[in-house]
Parts: sequence; structure tokens; C-alpha cells
Amino acid sequence: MSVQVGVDDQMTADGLEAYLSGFGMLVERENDVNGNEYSVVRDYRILHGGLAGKTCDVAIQRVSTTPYILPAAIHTRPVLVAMDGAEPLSTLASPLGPDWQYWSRRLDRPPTPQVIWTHIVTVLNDDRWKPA
Amino acid sequence: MNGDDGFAERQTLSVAMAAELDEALSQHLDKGPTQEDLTFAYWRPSAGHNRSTAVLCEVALPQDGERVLQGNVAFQPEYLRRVLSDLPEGAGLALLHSHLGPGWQGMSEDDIVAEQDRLAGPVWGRTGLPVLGLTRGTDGAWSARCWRRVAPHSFERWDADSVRVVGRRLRITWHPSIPPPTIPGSQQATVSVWGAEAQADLARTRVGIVGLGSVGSIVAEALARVGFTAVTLIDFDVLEERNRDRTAGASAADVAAGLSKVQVAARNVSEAGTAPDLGLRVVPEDVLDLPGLKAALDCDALICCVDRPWPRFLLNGVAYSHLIPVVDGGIAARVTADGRPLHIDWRIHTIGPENACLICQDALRRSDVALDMEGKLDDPDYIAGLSEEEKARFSRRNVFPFSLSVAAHEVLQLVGLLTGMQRVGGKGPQTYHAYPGVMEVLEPQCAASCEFAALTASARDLSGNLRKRKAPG
Repeated sequence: MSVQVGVDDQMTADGLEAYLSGFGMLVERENDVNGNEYSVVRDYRILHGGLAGKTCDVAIQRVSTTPYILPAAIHTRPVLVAMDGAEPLSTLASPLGPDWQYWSRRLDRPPTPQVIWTHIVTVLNDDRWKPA
Repeated sequence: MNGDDGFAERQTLSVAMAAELDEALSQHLDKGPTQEDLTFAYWRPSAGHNRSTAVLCEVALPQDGERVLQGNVAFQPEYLRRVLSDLPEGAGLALLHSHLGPGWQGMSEDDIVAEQDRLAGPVWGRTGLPVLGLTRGTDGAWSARCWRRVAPHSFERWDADSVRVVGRRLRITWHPSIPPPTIPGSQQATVSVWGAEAQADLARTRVGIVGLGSVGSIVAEALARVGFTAVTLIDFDVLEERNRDRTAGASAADVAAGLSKVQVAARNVSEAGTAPDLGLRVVPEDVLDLPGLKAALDCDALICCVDRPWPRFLLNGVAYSHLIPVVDGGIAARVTADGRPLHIDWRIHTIGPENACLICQDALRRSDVALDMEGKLDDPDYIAGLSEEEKARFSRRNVFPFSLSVAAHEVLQLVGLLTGMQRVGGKGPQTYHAYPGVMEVLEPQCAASCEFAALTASARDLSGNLRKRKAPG
């Protein structure tokens, strides 16, 4: 018999990639101008909302924090909506390059791969967005 | 950061365990006035700058036939084989046993034979870490040592300075070489309130103050006056003219001289201190850099006096993973469009095992941490795009009396943590509403899915949470 405190089973950037790959998505790595590394989901097809029918790459910066903290943005290629910098989207230029777009996103739930991908899919399939 | 990382080469050794584990050990080891008992346990190394801490993470209780109970107690070889076989990756092995007297325990010849001759070699060979030995007294006091390798087949005893049991209370047993300091006449009024025993607990505890700005500078002076003898000041920032209306002990001459906040606080603490021997450690570093974090890991308790989300996220992890409880506070002052006070609140809370973490008591948002890590909270263009409510949250408005109140309650919660006196420290997290003038007391719990509570006693390497410095050139 053992008595243990804590259950140190933490989510990681590798775990997120494995989860996405498990869905059959192609996940690759890219670096931005600052040397930060990203997990990039290739050719995600948006099925619903104002951007329905569009296909994009979706990048999530890889972080090594403990616990895992989802970065404050997702990045899409190509640019999908107008770059206005204002809420609710707060879209900005991305350090990944001129063909990428920074979408400021907030996630305050305990992060798991399922929660994160659901969050991203919900954002991209929102009815409010109008194509750039 | 963790792993071996020169565990056996630091100046001092401490052992920490969560109160939940201490309770489980009590149930197993406390067999009455005539019978000792033992168990093996696993621990993980936590390495500060000067101090190594063995963090107990799991108890592997003996099965039938794995130890011999005859008044005293001995383990059978198959028990050792089993626990070494089941050893979690990166963990060390500890032998814990009970004695039949109170207080810090010495070692019998049998104890030394068991730890030095039977365990030290095989355990070092299997784990690369020294075997740890703990003894529990009849009053619940722990004593500890490890056996570090000094030459092939040769292990020497390294006594711990302290053993910390961390829960709602931080209970520390000290090695006899660290007696309570003599109480000077300048502390008589303080001791008349909470007594000499509590003062002895406070005086020897190393408390780190992270951030020596408006709240931290006052906390530092308060600890010095109360009689704390071991204080660590951690801040990288330089004093500026705009800080003078909220920083204890700061003068215009200090600004002109370009003094750092820790320099000002150190001078103030030295002048205000009532203890004859003040063990002040001045660390002019950011806690988000490795030297700052290492200094924090040398402390028994921390007071977080920074308002940025990122360092608070780091310290939230330290509180659970490395079993160093943190007292934290914050001020929210909202003003009307024409600059008049609207809502002013402040809150104070203690985090660590048996207390809710900053996230679970809604004192910190994960998404704010992410924004801080990306530098967005310093980006005026980004801030300009936020809603008015969000802008107000990040405004960091404050005046000195707010800081005085937060600092006072942080020190009181620290005293409650270290002495167990709820009548001083209160029962839980406190939120004060300046209008109408009400203090709310809450008792939140961490969510079942809380990733910080899951880190408890893991001694995880938190260097991934630090600021990334670009390599020179």
C-alpha cells in the first residue's frame, strides 16, 4: 500500500501535438522571428460560421511552463479577418510572418488538449467573423 | 534545478512533507509507548542556492512479513528490494522510523547500521541520491539526515537543519544546533501577545519577500520589528521618484543615488530590526530569473508582493510543488472617468497544501499570465484595444494606506501560518471592501482538476516558467 500526495500528470505541448495527430491532423513545427517554436496544424477546414469553407493553418506557440499555460493567441495562415486590433478579436500581425494573423484569445479553464482544441475550433467557427 | 543538481553539495539540508503525508505517517508509526515502527518512502530533490530540500512525495508502507517488530523494528531485505524495484523515476529513497521519546532524536547504533551500512550504498547505486533517514518522536517532531557519498564505499552523515510539515500550518522541527534566539527587551510587547513559543517559531523561519515595492517594503520592516531573524529580500528593480509615495524608508536622496529597492529595504530592515542577529539576505534579482528562483527555494515561507501575473504564477507553482507556502495579496482600485474613487478592494490569501491556489480562488487568471509572458501587458497598443474593464484591471492604481493594510494582513497571515494561531492570522482568504468597510473571509478549495494541487510535493523543475534570456551575441 502506498500513500501519495499530488498526482503529477501535467499537460505538455508534446501532449497537445500527440492529441491532434491522433485525430489524423498533420502537425508540424515552425519558428517565428524571435526563435519561438510553434505547433502548426495544417489545412484545417472551417465548417461553420462566417468563415465557413475557408481552409487555414493554425499555429499554437509551444510552451514549457509547469503547469501548462495556453499562450495568449492562436495564429492562422492566411489572414482570415480584418486586422483591427480591437476586441473581441484583437487581431494583430503575427511574429510568424506577414502571411500569418495573430488572434488574441483567452482561455481560463484548466488546460487539456481537448479543452484547447475545442476552444480553437469554437473561435474559428464563430458566426460573427467576416472574411478579410 | 531539480534532479540531483549537486543535491549533496549545498550548505544546508532540509526535509519537507505535506501535512496529509505527515498524518498518514502518524497513523502508521505511532504504535504507543513500547513499540517502534518503520516505513520506506520516496522523495524528490529540490535545490535552492544554499539549501537542498528533500521533498517527501510518497510512502511505501510495509506489507506483511517485510519488517520485524520486537519493541524496536528492523526491515527485511525483500522490503528494500521491493521499494527499490518500484522506485519512481528521479526519486530518492527514505527510511522513516519512530522513537519512543519526544523532540529531535539522536541515532542509536542500530539506526546508524541500518542507514549507513545497509542502505547508503545500495540506494546511492540505484538512485544516484543519498539515502534519507527520518525519525519521528512521540510528540510528532521529526528529525532527519542523509548519507552523502564522500569516497567509494564511504558515506558520511549530513544532518538536516529542519524538517517542515506543510499544511494550513507550517510546522517546523529544528536541529538542536539552531536553538530559539534569546528574546530581547525590544520584543517584550510582541511576546506578551503571542508568547515565547510562537516567537521562537517565527524568529527562526526564513521568510522571503518577493518584490520590495509598496507592500513589500512595509512587510520587510514589519518582519524586522516583530523579530524575524532570517529574511530574504528579492527584487531587481531600481527605486524611482514615482515610487516614493508608497515605499517605506525611501528618500529623495535614495532616488538621486540610484539605489535599488532591495538596498533601501535592507537599510530600513537593519535599522528597524529588534533581533540581535539579523540574517538578512539581499538578492538583487528577478524571481523570473534562475538566481531569484533559487533564492526563493532557500526559504521556508514566501510573501509575494508583486502584482504581475507571471511571477505570481511561478510562486503559485513553488507553493505546491516545492512545499514553500506563499502569502499573497492584491489591490484593485477602480476610479470613475473623471478620476474619483469608485470601488476599492484588497485581498490577502495564503497558498500551499490544504489551501486553495491563486487560480482556484480567482486571484489570478491563466490568460493574464499568458498575456504577461508575451509582453502584452507592457504593450500600449495592445492595452489600448482592451475594454475599459480590462484596462482598469491592469491599471495598478494604489496609494500608501492601501499597501499598509495589505502588508499588515499579509504579516498577520504569515504569523498565523507559522504558529497555527487563527486568532491572529484569521481563518482563510480575506477580501476587504473599502466601502462600506467590510472584510469578507472565504474558505475556497482547489478544484478537483486543479493542475497546481496536482503538483503537490513533486519538486518539479520550474525553470520552464522563467524568463527566456537571449544568449549574448
